[in-house]
Amino acid sequence: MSLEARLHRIVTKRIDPRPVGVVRVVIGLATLIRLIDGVAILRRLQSPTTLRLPYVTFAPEATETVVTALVIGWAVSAGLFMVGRWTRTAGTLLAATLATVTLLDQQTYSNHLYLLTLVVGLLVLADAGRAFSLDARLARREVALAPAWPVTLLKLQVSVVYAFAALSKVNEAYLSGIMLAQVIPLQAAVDAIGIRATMAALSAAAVISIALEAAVAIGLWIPNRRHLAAALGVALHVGMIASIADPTVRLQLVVFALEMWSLYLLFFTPAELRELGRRIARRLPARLRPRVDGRAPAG
Amino acid sequence: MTESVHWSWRSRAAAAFVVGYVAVQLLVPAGLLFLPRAQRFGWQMYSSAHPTPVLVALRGGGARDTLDIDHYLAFRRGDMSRDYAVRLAWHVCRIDRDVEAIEVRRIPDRPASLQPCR
Repeated sequence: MSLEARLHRIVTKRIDPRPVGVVRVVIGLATLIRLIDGVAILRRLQSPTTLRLPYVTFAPEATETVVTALVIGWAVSAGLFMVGRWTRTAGTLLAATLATVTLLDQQTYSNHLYLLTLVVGLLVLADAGRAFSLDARLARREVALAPAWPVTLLKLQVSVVYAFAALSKVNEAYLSGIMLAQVIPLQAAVDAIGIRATMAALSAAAVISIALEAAVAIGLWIPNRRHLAAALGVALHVGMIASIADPTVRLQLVVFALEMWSLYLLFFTPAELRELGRRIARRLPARLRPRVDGRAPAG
Repeated sequence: MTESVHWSWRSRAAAAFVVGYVAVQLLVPAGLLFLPRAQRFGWQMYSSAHPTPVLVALRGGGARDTLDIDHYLAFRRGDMSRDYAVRLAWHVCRIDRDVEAIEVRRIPDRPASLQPCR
């Protein structure tokens, strides 16, 4: 098949919108959680004693009015996007708000906020309000297929994030464990096994984290390695969250984990997701098991 | 055999977007790998250690006090521009009129630079 024909197939293919609908709900929730931290940082930026570090000339001043508008815009659009009401408009407003915060100042930038901006934008293009949304429920229409190409880009984005995260860590400071020593509380380990062994363990952890990121970036694309890659990804993020002591950073890592975990769903077919759901349900205590009737959800 | 495909304006726009998006998401982070860590927009989370700069305010009468730099920042990040400690010193000079000069040590165990406020 020619490159042109391949590209044509990518941009004309249509898919079941339900996994994208689930991702939209989780991403909406993640943006709402991230708002807790966002408000605190934006309010501090507003203080006259705070240094401003704008890195684009067109960034607005972080005045009271600008900060209030951003916070309200963020909260309302994230809520509407999550429940799927006026999804396209809410998603567009949310992506614009997140982009503004990302570009406002060097201190308001964060990688997962930048990622959220891209993901929300792509979910709007993926017509993510077609399933599991108030829009779909109120329209009372059959669930129609959604364009596949934004989903392909979302999947590619997952691999890009992990691949470059891994590549950028291949440097002396990270591999020596010094970087991890800055963010992980180590006193108990040093007391128990000494500084030399602690640094050796950190260095090993650094190598393992790079290997995990690379494995997830590649493994999610390999059909018979997908479950393993997703499990490794879950373990990687749980490890990150558990090892960081700073509550602000920890909250940001929770948001990052939610973003990435929800995007893993897009690598699986609806049939694989149903099977995965059944497998998880079988392991739950009987009283917690959901009733599985196999029918497609309404809306 | 050559396949013929029909391109509507919508599929053309989608194709242009896909190609542009993929190019930006591959080329920008790849290019940033050649600059010092950590860079924004390069997915370089926790990729390198960053020493915290030390700023000492010199006040009238010879008093010296080490500043809590987080007091003057909304959120300290590893990917902020390399000169932020110097910009922070100017900022402290501007908002605290008692300060006559700031001693800036960007990296521990390296010589400090003295920045007069006036």
